[in-house]
Amino acid sequence: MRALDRQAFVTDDLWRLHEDGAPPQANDVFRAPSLADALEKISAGPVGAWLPPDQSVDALAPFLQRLSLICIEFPKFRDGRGFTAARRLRQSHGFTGDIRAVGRVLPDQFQALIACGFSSVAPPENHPPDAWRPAAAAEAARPFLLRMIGRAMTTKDAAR
Amino acid sequence: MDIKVIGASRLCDGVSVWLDSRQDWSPDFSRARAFLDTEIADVFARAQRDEQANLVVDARVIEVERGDAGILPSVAREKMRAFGPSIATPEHGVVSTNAPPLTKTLAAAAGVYRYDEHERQFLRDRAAIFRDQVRRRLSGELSEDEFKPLRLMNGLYLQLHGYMLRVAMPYGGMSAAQMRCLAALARRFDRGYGHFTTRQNIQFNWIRLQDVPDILDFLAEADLHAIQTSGNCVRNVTTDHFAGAAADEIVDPRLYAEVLRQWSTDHPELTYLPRKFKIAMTGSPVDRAAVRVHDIGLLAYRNAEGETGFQVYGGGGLGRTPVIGVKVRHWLPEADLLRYVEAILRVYNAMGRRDNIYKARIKILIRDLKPDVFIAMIEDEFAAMEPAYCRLEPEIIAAVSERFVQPSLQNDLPSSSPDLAAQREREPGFSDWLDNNVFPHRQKGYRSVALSLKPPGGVPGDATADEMDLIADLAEKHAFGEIRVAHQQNLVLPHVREDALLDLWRSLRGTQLAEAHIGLITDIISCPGMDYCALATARSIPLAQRLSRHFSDRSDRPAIGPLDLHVSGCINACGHHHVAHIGLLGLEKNGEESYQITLGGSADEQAAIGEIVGPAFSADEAVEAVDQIVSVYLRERAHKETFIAFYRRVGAEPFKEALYARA
Ligand code: HEM
Ligand code: SF4
Repeated sequence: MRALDRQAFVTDDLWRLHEDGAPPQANDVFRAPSLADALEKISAGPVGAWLPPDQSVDALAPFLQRLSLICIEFPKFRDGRGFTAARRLRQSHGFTGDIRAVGRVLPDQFQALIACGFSSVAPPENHPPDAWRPAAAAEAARPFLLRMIGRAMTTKDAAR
Repeated sequence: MDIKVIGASRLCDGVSVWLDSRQDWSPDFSRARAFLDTEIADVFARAQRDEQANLVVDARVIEVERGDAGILPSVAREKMRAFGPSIATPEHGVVSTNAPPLTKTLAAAAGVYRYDEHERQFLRDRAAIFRDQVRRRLSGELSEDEFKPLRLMNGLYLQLHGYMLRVAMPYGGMSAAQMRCLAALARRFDRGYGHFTTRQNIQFNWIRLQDVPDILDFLAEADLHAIQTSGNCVRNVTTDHFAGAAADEIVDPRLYAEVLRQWSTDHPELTYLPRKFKIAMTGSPVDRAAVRVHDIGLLAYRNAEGETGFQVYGGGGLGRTPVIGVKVRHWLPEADLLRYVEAILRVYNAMGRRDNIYKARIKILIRDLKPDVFIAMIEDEFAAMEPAYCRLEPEIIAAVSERFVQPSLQNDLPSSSPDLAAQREREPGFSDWLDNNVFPHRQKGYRSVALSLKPPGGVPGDATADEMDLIADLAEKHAFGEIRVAHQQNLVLPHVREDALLDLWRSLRGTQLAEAHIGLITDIISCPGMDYCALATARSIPLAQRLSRHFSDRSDRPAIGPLDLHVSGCINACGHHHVAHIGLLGLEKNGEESYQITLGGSADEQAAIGEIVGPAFSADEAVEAVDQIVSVYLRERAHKETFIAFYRRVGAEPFKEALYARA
């Protein structure tokens, strides 16, 4: 899968979306119905999960130990559920693997995605990788209060 | 045979344009070319190409009729685009380009809350980001679909005649220097006036997209911005317009409103919510901020130990489905304010409906889940947060608090009441004004003063650039340079010495700002309605103007006493008609404007949604109907009973009878 890292540099990794009916393998990303089954069959190697917008992160809770990647889907860039999903995974569930934004996201949202705990973005076709670097490089000043409370990251995230 | 024209809004300045006979876009409707049904598909395809080429947006086919004076759009909104607004505006003509250039010195030491260089830089950065977004939009790199939420996040709407820019007055406060900036902005980039709204913002109606980056730069130097005045995010937090001054206040809510403002600004998680989100807060037992009709309402108070905390209401709102909020927490300690509010928003962001914008507000989620379940979910979310996350430690509160410039009130002033009594004798006009426009202050020897933005027959909430400058001067002279926007669309000078009241009144007397009617029937709240607003179903300003003239002329106006009269131009209820004692909602019935009347609404501690009294009236009848309602009240009330008390006692029946029985 092609993705951008936290600095918006392109990385090509081994992840691929699992296709229905194919034998489950390491480096596959599974949708909810096949995830439990796949985890039983794959004894070693990294496994990923795909979280559709209408599914709660709580559904992934039992599997988090075994997951190395969670792809959170954005059906529209105006649909902000994915931001909360990532926050909950990091904050309430303590997930430390890769969280990737997939689907319709905008370069203008890059900083917010990272601040919510995303660690990679799969850039959509209409916004190719080059368009994301400026957003990643921008250094924004922050309001007074936020400098004091450090909202963006949990203590765990900050250490990573 | 049916004929049609093709209309659109020009991308660069938002001006309504129509295809003319040379197939160019003309801003002059009289040059619009009428096409036959058979031609329309081809011409429309060509209009869509211009949309693709980023010359125009919102290209559409418009039904027209042929009249004596040429063609005329069939529907009211398109008529308004072609010939509106229907009301006189202060400076008809074009946006002035030879107004004095903007100078940064205007903005020196701007706000009441002091920004530091980081914060100013933050506003500059945000302006720069938007400059880049505008550039990308004009070049076509961003589509209208993608750009729209980004411009809304910066308070920029596309309306009937152009872009409208909504600038935030955080929790309704501003300084004289900031007011002068608004005046300068109005002169340089608009037609010399602005509209103060029920959400303690100001709207400029004649803005060009290409100017907005410069406008935001200019605002930033005055610590002003348009961030999150629109869009599906946490909006400008509103509060009591007498905050920090009211005699009955327990906690100054501005401190917490500022904390919420900073926390919500560019919140990475909560910027693409299902729908807009409005928070209001008060620190007084008398609710002047309508907290029970907001998505979250906060009542700051102190417990028996003297600690500060909040009562939290959730799920109130107006619009299509008016609801009074439910109490979700009786006591929320100060330290947990952000955590708890974030927990509410997190539940809402994850679960609020996104399939239907009319059902997307938090009030619908709470109703669907049932309040108990919703409250349990918030508490779970709240409990799952890391203990240190976003906690407001006392040092943080103290640090933010220190940034507020406190007016140096004298604490040894004698009460000037005896002098005022003598002055009343000499100046009857002054006496009326004292009774209606002057309010008690926490400090002996001071009062808060409301300046009316509702002269008889005027546009509620509008102020000209000259008026803004005058108000800035008066605020500097009499009120430590502080100004507030009241949600009733008036302005307030919060700390005026009693012995300066007569002087202040004399300065106001010759202007449009001295109308002595705050809280009376002519102090009408009105949204912009069809004259400006693309969502309207009817005009609201002209009706408000007629009502204000009518009741200004009625010799018994003072006897009518306190009465909230509000007008909205559509079901979105921006004029708060649901919570008016008498509310008017503009609708369209068979192509005609009509007005539905609600009675008995209220936004205060006894918040209630008004009851629809019966079938709607035409504009002419509506003035008459309100007059009858008032007459019923005057005839049948008990001694000194206010309108709302009378309504609560007798209900709608006597009014219904008077309005509809004759039929
Ligand atoms: C002219 C451009 C405006 C547009 C396009 C607009 C749009 C809307 C919409 C769509 C709603 C309904 C939201 C919902 O129920 O989900 C709404 C509500 C509201 N608007 Fe406006 N509005 C405009 C101007 C104003 C003005 C001028 C004011 C103040 C005078 C205002 C204050 C409010 C208030 C107080 C509400 C109801 C509270 C609530 O959100 O439930 N708006 N507006
Ligand atoms: S109530 Fe309707 S007409 Fe009035 S400003 Fe709101 S959206 Fe526009």
